[in-house]
Amino acid sequence: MKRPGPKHYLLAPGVLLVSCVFLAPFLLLVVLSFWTQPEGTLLVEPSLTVENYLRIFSDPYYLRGLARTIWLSFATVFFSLLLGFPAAYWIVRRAVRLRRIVMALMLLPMVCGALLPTLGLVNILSPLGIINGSLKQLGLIDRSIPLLGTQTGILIGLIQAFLPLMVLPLVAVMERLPLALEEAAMSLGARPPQVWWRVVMPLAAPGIVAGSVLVFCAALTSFVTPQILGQGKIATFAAMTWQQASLVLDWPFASALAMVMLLIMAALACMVLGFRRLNWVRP
Amino acid sequence: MRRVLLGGVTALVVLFTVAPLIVLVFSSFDDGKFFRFPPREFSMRWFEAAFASVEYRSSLLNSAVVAVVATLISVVLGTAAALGLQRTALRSRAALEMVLLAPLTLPLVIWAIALLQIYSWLGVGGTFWGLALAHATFTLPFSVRVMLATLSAIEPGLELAARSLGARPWRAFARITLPLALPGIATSAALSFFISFNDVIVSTFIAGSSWMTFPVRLYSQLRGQGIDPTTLAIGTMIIASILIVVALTELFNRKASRA
Amino acid sequence: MSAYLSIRNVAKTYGRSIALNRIEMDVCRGEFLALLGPSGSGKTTLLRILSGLLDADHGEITLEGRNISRTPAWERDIGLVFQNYALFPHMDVRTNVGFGLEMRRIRGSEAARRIDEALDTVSMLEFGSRMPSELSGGQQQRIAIARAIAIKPRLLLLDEPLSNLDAVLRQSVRVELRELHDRTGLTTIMVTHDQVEALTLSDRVALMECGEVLQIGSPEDLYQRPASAFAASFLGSPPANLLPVTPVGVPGEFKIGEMPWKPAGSVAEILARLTHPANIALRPETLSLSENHLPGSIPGKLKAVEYMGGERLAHVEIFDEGGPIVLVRTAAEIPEPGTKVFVVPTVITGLYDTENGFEVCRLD
Repeated sequence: MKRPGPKHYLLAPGVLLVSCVFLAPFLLLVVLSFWTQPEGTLLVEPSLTVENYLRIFSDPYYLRGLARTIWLSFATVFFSLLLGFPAAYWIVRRAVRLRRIVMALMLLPMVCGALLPTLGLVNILSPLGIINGSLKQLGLIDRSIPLLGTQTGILIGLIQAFLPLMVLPLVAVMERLPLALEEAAMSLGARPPQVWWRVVMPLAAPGIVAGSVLVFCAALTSFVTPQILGQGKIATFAAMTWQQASLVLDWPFASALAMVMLLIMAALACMVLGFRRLNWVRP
Repeated sequence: MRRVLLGGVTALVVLFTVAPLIVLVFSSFDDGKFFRFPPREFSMRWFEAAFASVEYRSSLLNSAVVAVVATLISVVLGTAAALGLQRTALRSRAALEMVLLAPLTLPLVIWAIALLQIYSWLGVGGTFWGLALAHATFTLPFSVRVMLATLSAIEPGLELAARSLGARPWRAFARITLPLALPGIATSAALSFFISFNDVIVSTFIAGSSWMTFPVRLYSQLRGQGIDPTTLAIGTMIIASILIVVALTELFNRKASRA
Repeated sequence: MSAYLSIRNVAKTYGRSIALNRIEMDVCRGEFLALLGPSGSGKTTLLRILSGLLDADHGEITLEGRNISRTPAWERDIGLVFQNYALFPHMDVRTNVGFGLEMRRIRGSEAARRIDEALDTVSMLEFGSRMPSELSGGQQQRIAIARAIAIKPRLLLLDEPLSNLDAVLRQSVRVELRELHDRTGLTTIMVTHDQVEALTLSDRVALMECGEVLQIGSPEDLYQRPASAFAASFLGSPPANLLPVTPVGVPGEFKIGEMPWKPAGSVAEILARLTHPANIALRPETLSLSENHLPGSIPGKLKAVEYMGGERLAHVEIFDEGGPIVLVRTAAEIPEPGTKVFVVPTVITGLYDTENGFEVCRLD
């Protein structure tokens, strides 16, 4: 046996912190989701029952919430890709001086957390906000279009919050694509749309997949943005989980709800691993 | 034509990303109790109210204290881990890196639900140290990533050269690698601080009323009463301090790269 | 005779730096032309303008009598082989080669036949189902060529085709490229910074520097009669010696730098035309060394001798300590370094103006 090298003491504290404080709770979550909390009490009983899961999958409230959340997450992925792909292409191929600034701005929402942008979004979407206000000024509408408290409002908030998660991996992948490939396609007779479709898109597939997974998972588990922009009228799955944990204080049930989200993401991860063969860029 | 289209979409993306923050800043100077567009009078009254409010001040202070402690842990452990990773053989490196970056890839909400229960058994729920440790954990991967990028940009021969000139390993590190890594350390500290300071996802689960941070207070307020314009003014000040820190680190990095 | 490809007055600037300055050039059908020059000479810019990947600021390009200056790259029918080959990594060899046909909506058996034909031309028929990452550098290059010729291009452009190959492979690919050209008859333009490639492969060489074509002609022409001091000092390994020669007013007598020199034989005949100071180009292999003073020879001291296998390269410091160094390439025996020797010029390769570097008079 080799003695642990002198460098391991450098890694140990960080790895220990993440393992104990971050990874271990995930494992415990599996166990906790099978525990119960008898009605009307706050005492948790260790047991091994699928009661929590049965409750989720038999109650239309949760099923509808789950379906709504998955639908919203897919829509978020779709629009993020629609906007993020051309933007990433522009950043990689056309931006010269602006590039650093644009990339820095993409990181801004991450640093600002979930609340500050949501605060601004409320003022944009509200009945007296910027969108409705300017439409009224232009005389296009008389009465405000409801945006807060609707799925559209939530969708706008989710896209706003998670668009950078799509752009950043796309930029990372496209950066490694030699421009010569696109030029070669053009010299062989490919028009710009064909160059995109046959060369850029397939080669950027790892970035598209990575970005889509990131955005999907983020949208699936987000609760701050949907709760505030939905004004509590539209419950997403993560918001339901938060309610159970923070307001109802039924922790085993909240654990089971969290486990459902985790399982959806695990299923997605398995599908993505099947895409590994699409990864030509790495040797 | 195509160029215009591409540039247009990018402009839209950028606008979409920053518009809420711009609106937040913009509306904090509006006189009205409720924001409406077009705006009314320009006024600083919400800033005055922000400075006068004791509750906001205490929650902001709570946030700052947690963020400072979390940042210290995150940067020290993150730098050490990045150094360790850099000198680890390839095979175990990938696995260790995955562990260290896990808080970036796994959703924090799910973790927070588990942490909430564990903390309450351990009796650290709602305490300062419980919160600071959690914040250190999810800011650690940012430090690790920034420091990995910083360290990999440093010529490995430099430290060896210092050693060949007679410096002991520790001294070679302190005289050569550490000064060159300073810009990275500054960046990871700034990132960790603001990510921790602005966190609502984890804190709202595990921070009780005993150590309430500003985002937690703001979140519960937003769900209950809607927007208090005073918080817009505070948000504006937070954004301003982020921009100032970003500009300062940029300036510092440029200076360091020129030196 | 009208040219197959003609380039008229093509110019390109980037900001304030001139990449191409009013290029004029004609290429005949079936010709193999090399654009030779150091990096930054504008040769790659010209190639990109020809391919349509870059727009010229002004000027006109005519191919087969049709002005293509404003035709987009995808409508030019010009085959381009990239320096790094630029094979599509997500397509197998056949799909790569067939890409241009696919874009032209040529499908089915016709496409298959032409892909076979192109692969056969580069002797890669059996590699059709491989992915580019499974091929060696040399094989990738063949596929890149096959892909470019599969569209039956009206012009084939090669960007530094040999620069990514190792020295051994380079020589054999050089021969193959020339054979390929002779077999297909494709009008070919190659960009290279390597004079050996340009001289061995092409029918004509266009020597470029600072965005201008300095000279265009057959490889022999360029080598034996360089039209400028730059051409003389760029071509040849080592390149020609340039010595400043001034007529002193007495017929047959000159100064090299400040030292008197009395040339003899054909050298003297040529120099007789000189009325002003000029730089003379002397190719190292046309010079010989002597231990005795011969008519027209230049005295000097042997500083160093490099053995090059078969030949030797002598560094001679002419006249006094600190005088100019003249290189002499010879297969003959050479005395020990430090010996006093005489450099004997027999041929003058060129006479150039000391100011602008162009020929003072044409030598024939």
